[in-house]
Amino acid sequence: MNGAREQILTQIRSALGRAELDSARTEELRQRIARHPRHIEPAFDEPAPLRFRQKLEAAQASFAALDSLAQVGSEVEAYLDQAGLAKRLVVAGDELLQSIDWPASIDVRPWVAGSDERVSLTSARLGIAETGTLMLLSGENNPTSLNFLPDYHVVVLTADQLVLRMEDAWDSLRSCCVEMPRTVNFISGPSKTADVEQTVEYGAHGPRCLHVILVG
Amino acid sequence: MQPDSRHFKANAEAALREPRLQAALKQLELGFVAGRQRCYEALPEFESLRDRARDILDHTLENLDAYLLEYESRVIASGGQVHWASTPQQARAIVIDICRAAKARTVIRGKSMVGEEIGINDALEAAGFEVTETDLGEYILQLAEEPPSHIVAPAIHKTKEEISDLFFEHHRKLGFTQRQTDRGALVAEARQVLREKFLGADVGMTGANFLIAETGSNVIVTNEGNGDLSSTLPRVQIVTAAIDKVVPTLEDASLLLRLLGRSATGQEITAYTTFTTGPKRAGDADGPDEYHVVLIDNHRSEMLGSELRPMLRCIRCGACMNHCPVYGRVGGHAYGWVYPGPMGSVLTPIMVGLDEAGHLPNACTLNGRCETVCPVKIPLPTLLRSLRSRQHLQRQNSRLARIALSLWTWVALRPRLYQALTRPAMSLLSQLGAKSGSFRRMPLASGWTRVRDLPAPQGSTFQARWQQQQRGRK
Amino acid sequence: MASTLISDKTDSPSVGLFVTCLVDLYRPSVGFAAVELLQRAGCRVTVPRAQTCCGQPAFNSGDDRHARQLAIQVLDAFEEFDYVVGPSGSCIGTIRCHYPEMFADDSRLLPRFEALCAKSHELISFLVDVRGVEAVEASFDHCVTYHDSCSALRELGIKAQPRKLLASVTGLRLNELQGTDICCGFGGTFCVKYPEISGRMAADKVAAVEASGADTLLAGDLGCLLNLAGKLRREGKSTRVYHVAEVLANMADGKSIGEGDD
Repeated sequence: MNGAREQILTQIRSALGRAELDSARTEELRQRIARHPRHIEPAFDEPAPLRFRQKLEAAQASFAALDSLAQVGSEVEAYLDQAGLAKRLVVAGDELLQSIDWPASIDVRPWVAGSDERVSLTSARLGIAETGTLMLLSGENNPTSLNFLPDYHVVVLTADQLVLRMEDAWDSLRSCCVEMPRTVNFISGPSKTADVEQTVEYGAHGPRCLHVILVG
Repeated sequence: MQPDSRHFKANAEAALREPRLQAALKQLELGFVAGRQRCYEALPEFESLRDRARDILDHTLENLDAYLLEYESRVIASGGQVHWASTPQQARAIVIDICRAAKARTVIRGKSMVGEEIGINDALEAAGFEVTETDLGEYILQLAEEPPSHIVAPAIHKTKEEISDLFFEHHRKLGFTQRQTDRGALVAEARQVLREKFLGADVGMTGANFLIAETGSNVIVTNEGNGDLSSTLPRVQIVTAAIDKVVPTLEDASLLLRLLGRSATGQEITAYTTFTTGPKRAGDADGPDEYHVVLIDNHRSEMLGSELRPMLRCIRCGACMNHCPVYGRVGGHAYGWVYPGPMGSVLTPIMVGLDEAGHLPNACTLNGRCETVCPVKIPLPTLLRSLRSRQHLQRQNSRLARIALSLWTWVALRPRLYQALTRPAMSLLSQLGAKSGSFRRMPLASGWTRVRDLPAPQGSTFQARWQQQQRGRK
Repeated sequence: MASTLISDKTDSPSVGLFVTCLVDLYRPSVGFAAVELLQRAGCRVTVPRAQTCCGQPAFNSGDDRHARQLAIQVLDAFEEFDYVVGPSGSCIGTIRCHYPEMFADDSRLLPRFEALCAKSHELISFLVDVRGVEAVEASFDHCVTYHDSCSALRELGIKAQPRKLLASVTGLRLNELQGTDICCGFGGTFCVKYPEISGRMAADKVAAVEASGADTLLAGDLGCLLNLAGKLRREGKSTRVYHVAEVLANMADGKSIGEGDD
């Protein structure tokens, strides 16, 4: 271990014209972190589900609104049909998705490491209306790979999971989780790039298509 | 990356004569500039966000040591490791040690400007590792063996034909025998090639748009998803981040993220914004076993203690260069190093030396358009002028210019002498130029007359005529 | 006898005219136009003899010592007036925005400079914002376009004021310039240190002037005007170039900038 850590801290303090902060000041800073103040948040009028849908569609994600979970199976089947895809997908292992009744015609597989299925289905922890964003957390039943490796990514969430802003998402996360999950993905559309002559193409590395199903 | 900034003038002049580059740069105006303007008009709170962002970052810099320590303790608590590097050499050595200890062979990289700054690719390759860039623009440049020309859209200067040629040349040995010309096909081919790299890599190196002190997280923002695959698939993740990337809380990051996409490309949010904390947890389905952060100083603590401190607020959006009329005509390569445009003209002299990068703070009209669009209100013209002061004090500017300025000031401080000298000079010049109205050539002013005529003065001077008029009235 | 301008002010403040070196040396008619406009706005105008340069070339070259010396000369010559007014966004920008910066550490001089900067104004913005001038009495039967100089636009917030007064000029049609907020490439010493880049910026501006369909180009800064007039002449264009003060003072009948006898 080189002495760089001490050197850098010393140089920072000397640049700021002071020594190490005293415990009172350090505690003040800890308090600021503990308070995590929210700042100016842009206002918008539209109801959350409408804005959520509009933003996602503007980012070239596709969207379906369903009344109940029971309809998810047939919606996914219809989606696969119109995309011309084989009726096979890999599904993340969380509770919400496990409760879905799949039509017999669909080959539903659990995820295993190294899986290279074209279509994945995952659930989102939250949806954020401000920007049309899905918040997905890594975990035992939620491999992050499923959000990125397949060509087609289908995400299910329920209407009561919609919040207005990313700050609301943080509040929710703090209340449910003792510590940060390893990965928190905020996904707002399919993968894209404009690196070839500044024209947008989809499916750069992540999924070409994102399909969002909002239930309830 | 070896700097070439001392050749800025020659490189800039060559760039002006490059039609494909000029066409690509014109696109910036239509794309990023128009995009930002649309976002600005659609968000009434934009100016308030800028003020708040500046304040949050100033507060963080005032307490940088404390926030870095808090960040470090959170990373460790989440199972990660933090390494500190004062210099690029130290940073390179740390990265190579981590890769060696992990018995790695292949490294994939998500985009990281500080990675370019420390020259990590060359160092890793020299140490025997196979390195692949995964950001499509950076990958293209890796094949072309060229440096980035923009911090957000690094391959902005490359045409579709050039990319097509590069892929055809380099992908043949991987089994792609067809030369693709369609944009979608080129992207699809890159996806396939890089997918193999993702799946086979031992180490994933990423940068950080922000580091969160509250949680020990690093935040990356992409549209492609390459940063996420680099963070998730390999068994070791290394985050290279400069010490000025830390912000106190998740909410602070949320505010800055609102400004970042809008200022950079005219997007409210990118396709992927990811907060990563430590290695995989016990029971996680995927993720790396090891998570390392390399915190890099490289002159930032020095800037912190100088009048250049505001530069450390930079969130690397690229708005300044998108709006800079000089960058917009010469492109990024002319600046000769990692960071081009206005922000590059402040950072490069500090990081590679004012004698190497002396042109950069001077190749600017101080027009201020950059400052107007900077999301965190960095007073770029003031900082550039401050670098000119350093050059002046260190006698690094042109001797002729120093003499001319001294002479001008000496005469200007003696108004009577000034007026006695200027009146006949202007009268003479006026007579010489009266017929045509302007001069095509003028000794001692070839810099001017090379590209434009020099209008002839009206003759005599205002002071002479005014004083004459006043005397006439008495 | 010139009429007064349309304004509701009845007081008669003293104004020290900051001529600027470029107006003094290159185009005195701008100075006379400024005097005319100020007098019509009810001001008592004095032209201090002991003025030459605001120090901007030194300041922008990082030569703080010489810049400060020239600033003190300006302070001494102009402190006594109610207002300091000059026909240039860049010189007044230097006085208003940068003099306090130059003396930030000087507790003795800083208050005097802050007082000076508070009463220093660019000519057109002074007429509109301080003297409340709504219209001028002038005619100029031409299609014109207007270039906003960077310092006027960004350091002093001048954009609406010249347009307001130009709108009152009889016969004048204003076609807005595309990319009016993009630098013309003058930038003081930049234009001679990096002539190729500067020339390209000027060429782009000239193309925009042509595209506007105007036969006359106006601006409030002589540096920009000399740069653009020089480029227009080099490219063989017949566009005429004046300082906006000349048009507003109804004194734009002489040779335009760079115009010869032929």
